[in-house]
Amino acid sequence: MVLVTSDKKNITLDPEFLRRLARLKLETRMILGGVMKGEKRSKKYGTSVEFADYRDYHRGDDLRYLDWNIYARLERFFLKLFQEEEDLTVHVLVDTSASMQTGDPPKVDHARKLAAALSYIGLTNLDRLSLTTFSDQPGKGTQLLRGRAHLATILDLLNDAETGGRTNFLESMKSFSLRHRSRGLVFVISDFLDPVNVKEGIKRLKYNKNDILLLHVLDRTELDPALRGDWALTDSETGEVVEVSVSPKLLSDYKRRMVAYLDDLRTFARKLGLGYVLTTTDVPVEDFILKELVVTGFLR
Amino acid sequence: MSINNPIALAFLSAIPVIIALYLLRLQRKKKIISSTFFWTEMIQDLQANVPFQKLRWNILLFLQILIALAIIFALIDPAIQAALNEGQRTIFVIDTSASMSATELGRPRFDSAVRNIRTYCKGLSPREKVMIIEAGEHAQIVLDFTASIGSIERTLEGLHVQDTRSDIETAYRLAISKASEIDQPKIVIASDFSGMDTELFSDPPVPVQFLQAGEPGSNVAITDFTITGLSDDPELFGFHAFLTVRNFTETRIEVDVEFYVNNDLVDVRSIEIGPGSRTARVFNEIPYPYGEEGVVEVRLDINDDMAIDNTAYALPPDSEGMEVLIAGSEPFLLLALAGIPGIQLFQLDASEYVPGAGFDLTFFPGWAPEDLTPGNYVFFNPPNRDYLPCTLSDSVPLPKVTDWDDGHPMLRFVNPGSFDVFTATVAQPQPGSVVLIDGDSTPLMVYGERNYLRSLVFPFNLTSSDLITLPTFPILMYNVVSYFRSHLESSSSGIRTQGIQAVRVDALAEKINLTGPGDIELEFPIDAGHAFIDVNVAGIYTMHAMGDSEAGTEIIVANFFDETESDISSMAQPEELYGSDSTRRFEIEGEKHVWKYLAVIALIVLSGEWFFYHRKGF
Repeated sequence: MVLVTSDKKNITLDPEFLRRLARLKLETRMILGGVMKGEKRSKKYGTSVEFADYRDYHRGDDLRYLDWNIYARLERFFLKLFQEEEDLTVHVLVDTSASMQTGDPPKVDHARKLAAALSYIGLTNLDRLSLTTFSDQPGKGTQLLRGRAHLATILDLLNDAETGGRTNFLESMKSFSLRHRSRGLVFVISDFLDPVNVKEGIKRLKYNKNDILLLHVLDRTELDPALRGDWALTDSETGEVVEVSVSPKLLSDYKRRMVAYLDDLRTFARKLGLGYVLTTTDVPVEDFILKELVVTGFLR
Repeated sequence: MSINNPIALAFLSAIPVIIALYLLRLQRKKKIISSTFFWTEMIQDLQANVPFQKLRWNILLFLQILIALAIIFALIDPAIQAALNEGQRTIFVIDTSASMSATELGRPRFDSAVRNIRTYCKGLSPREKVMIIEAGEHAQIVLDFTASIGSIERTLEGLHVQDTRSDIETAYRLAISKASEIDQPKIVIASDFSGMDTELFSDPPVPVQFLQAGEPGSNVAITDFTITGLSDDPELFGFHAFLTVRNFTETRIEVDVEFYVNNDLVDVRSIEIGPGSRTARVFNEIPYPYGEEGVVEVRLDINDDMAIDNTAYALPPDSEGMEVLIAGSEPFLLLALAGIPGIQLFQLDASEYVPGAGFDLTFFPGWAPEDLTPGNYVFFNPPNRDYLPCTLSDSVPLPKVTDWDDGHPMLRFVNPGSFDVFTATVAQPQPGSVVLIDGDSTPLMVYGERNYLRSLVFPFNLTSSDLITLPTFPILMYNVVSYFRSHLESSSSGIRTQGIQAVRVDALAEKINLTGPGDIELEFPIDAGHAFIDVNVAGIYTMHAMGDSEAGTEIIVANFFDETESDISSMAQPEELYGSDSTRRFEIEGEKHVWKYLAVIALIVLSGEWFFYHRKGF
C-alpha cells in the first residue's frame, strides 16, 4: 500500500520571514568550481578584482593581464593572476515518499516549506539552485535556476509534487548524482526512515564531493509515541501491518531504539564530514531556519 | 487438602475458552505510521523469547485466567485439615441478685458484670454462639444460643437487679445441663460471688470462667421490721416498731432511723450498732396520723454501698387480727398465744380439724394430719409426714441445745440455751429446710417450705421440756406468730421478695392483679382462698381481685430482708480456689473450607483487571 496525499496544502511564506531570509546566504565549507561568475570564491584564478599571484607569460595569454610595471623594471613578462569569484551550486532534495505524509502536521508539509525557504535564500543570492523530489526514485526536479524570479517555479514544483511511494534512498541518490555531476551544496530533507539504504545513498552523494547537509524531519510522535494498548500499526509505505500490545516496557524499548538510530545517523554524518540537523514538525520552519540552521554554518 | 465438589473441575475447560475469546475479542486500534521498522524489530525480539507467539504476554489475559481459576477452585470447595477455632458455645450465667446492686464509686456491680460480658462478646467470632442464663430469684434462660450481637445487647439491656437472693446453684446446674448437650461448651459466670458457696464450682465438667464483679463493700441493713400496738385513742395514736438492723462494717456506727407514714416523716430515732453485730430494737409510740390509712416506711439515714436494704415497709395491723388455730389440746400453748395482741385465737379438737379451714396459722400439738393444704403450720412432736421439712424417726433422751440461728426473726429475744428437752424425736432435716435450733443428737427446731406449705417443727412435746416454764416461751411463740404473720398480706411487715408467698384473699375471684413500683404489673392465681404471690422488687403494691367487681383494692408491702445478700463485706474468690479457664476458644481438628478466600481473591483480581483495563489504557 502506498499512501498518496490528497489534501495537499500550498506553501505560503510570510513576507516578514522572506525579508529575513533575504539577509541570509547559503554557505559551503568547500571551494567550489562554477561556470558563471558568482559570489563564491573559486580555487580557480580568474578575472575578478582580487589579486592572487603572478605567473610567467605564455603565448596566447590575455595581454590585458600583463603587469607592465614589472616588465618596466625587470623586462620580463609576468601575468597577474586574480582570485576568481564563482557562483554556488545548490541542490535541494525533498523526500516525498509516503512516510513523509504521516505526522500532524504531515512531515512533507514541513519539508516543502523548509525547501522553499532554502531555495529562496539560494535564488536571492544568485546561486544556481535545483530542487528535486524523490521517493522510490528521483521525482520531478528543476534545472539549475538562478535569480529570485525562479522562486515561483520552485513553489509550483513543491506544490504539485505528488506524495507517495516507497522510499528507496540509494536509488534516488544514485539517479540524482548521475543527473547532477557538478559539485555543490546539497540539502537532503527527509525522515530517513529507510535505514537500510540511507547510508549508502548518502555515501553516493558524497562521492561527488558535495557539501551535504542532512535535514532530518520527524513528527514528535515518532520520537515519543502516544500509544497504549493493542494496536494494529500499518506501515505507510509498505502497507505491512504489525500488531502490538504496547506496554510501558515496549514503549521504552521503542524510544531506546529510535534514539540509537538517530545517534547512529548523526555519527555517520560526522564521520563523513556531513552536516546533520534533526527537527520536528512541531518546531516552526521560521524558528528552525533562523535559530537552529544558522548555528550549523550552512547559513550566514 | 480434600476436594468436596470434584465435578466443578469440569469448569477448567473454561480456561481455553477464555483464551479463545481473548484472541477473538481483541479489537486492536488501527493506525498508519511512517514506518513499522522499529516495531517489527522489537516484536521479532519478543517473539524470539515467547514460546507461544500468538499468546504473547498480556496482563489482562493473565488476570482473567487467574479469576477463572480462583472461581473454579472455589466451586470445587477445597478444604484443608486445620485446627478450627470457631463454633464455640458460651453460656453466660449472670447474677441479678440484690447484692449486685451494691455500688463502687457509684457504679453497681451488675453494671460491671454486664460490661465484662460485653467485653467478652466483642471478641467472639461470627460463628461463636452465646446463651445467657439469669441467676436471680429463679434461674432462667433469657437468651438461647445466638451469634447475634444485637440480641445479646438487647438481652443484657433487659436484665435488672432483683431484690432477691440469687439462685446461682440452679443457674449453674442449668448451664452444665445445657453444656452437656453441645460441642465446645464453656460456662462463664458473671457475679460478685457474695455469700456464695463456691464449693459448687469445684471440679466442673466443662471449662468454667469466672468474671468477678466488684470489690467488698460496707453496708448496714434492715433485716426485719414490723409494727404493732396501734392505739385506738386519738391522743395516744401511735405504734410500736420492731426493727432489726445489722452492721456489716468493721466500725461502730450510729445511724438515724427515720419513720414515714405515707411518705411524711413522723419520727426519727437513733441507734448505735457495733462492728459486724446485729441489733433488734423496739421503738415505742411512733406517731401515726389519726384516721389515716397508709404505709409505714422506715429508712436508715446512711450512705452505704447498698441502698435497697436501707428501707423497709410495714402496714398497720389489721384490726381483725390474724386467725390462729390450735388443733388439739395444749393449755400452755393456749396460754402463751392468748397473750399475743392482734390475733384471733381459735381452738378445736384434733378430731374436728378439717384441712383447708382457712386459718392463717395452725398449731398441731403432738399430732399431724395425713394431708394438708398450703398454709402456715406449727407442729410439736408430730408423727412422720411427707409434707414436713424433716423426717422423724426414733426418740432420743435429753438432747442438748448446741447451736441456734440467733439472727432469725423467730429467735429474736430468745435464748434457746436456757431450756432443756427431756425426750425428743430424731429429726432429719429435708433438703432446703432450715435448722433454727440444733441439738447434739437431733435438731430441735426445723423450719421449711414445701409446695406453699410453711411448717415449723419442734420434735418434742411441750410437756417434755421445761420450755413452758420459762419466760422465753411466750416470746418464742410471739416471734413464731409474727414471723408467719409477715407472710400474710394482713401482716404489718407484708410479704418478702424472696420465694412465693401465700396471701389470703377473701374475694371470689380466680386471679389477682398486682401493680407495684416501676410499673410492675403481675397476675397470680387464687387457690384455696390464697393467692400465691412471687415478687422480686421491694416496695408498695396494690392488689386487686380480678373478675370480682365488689372486691376493693388492698395495699400490701414487699420487703427485702436477707442478711446473706446484704453482707457485701466479703466475697468468695472462686477463681483463686478453682482457677479459671480463660481461654475463649477450643480448637478441634477439622476441615477448613477455603472457598471464601478463593472467592475473595477472584474479586480482588477482578478489580485489578478493571483497574488495568480502564485506567492504564491497555
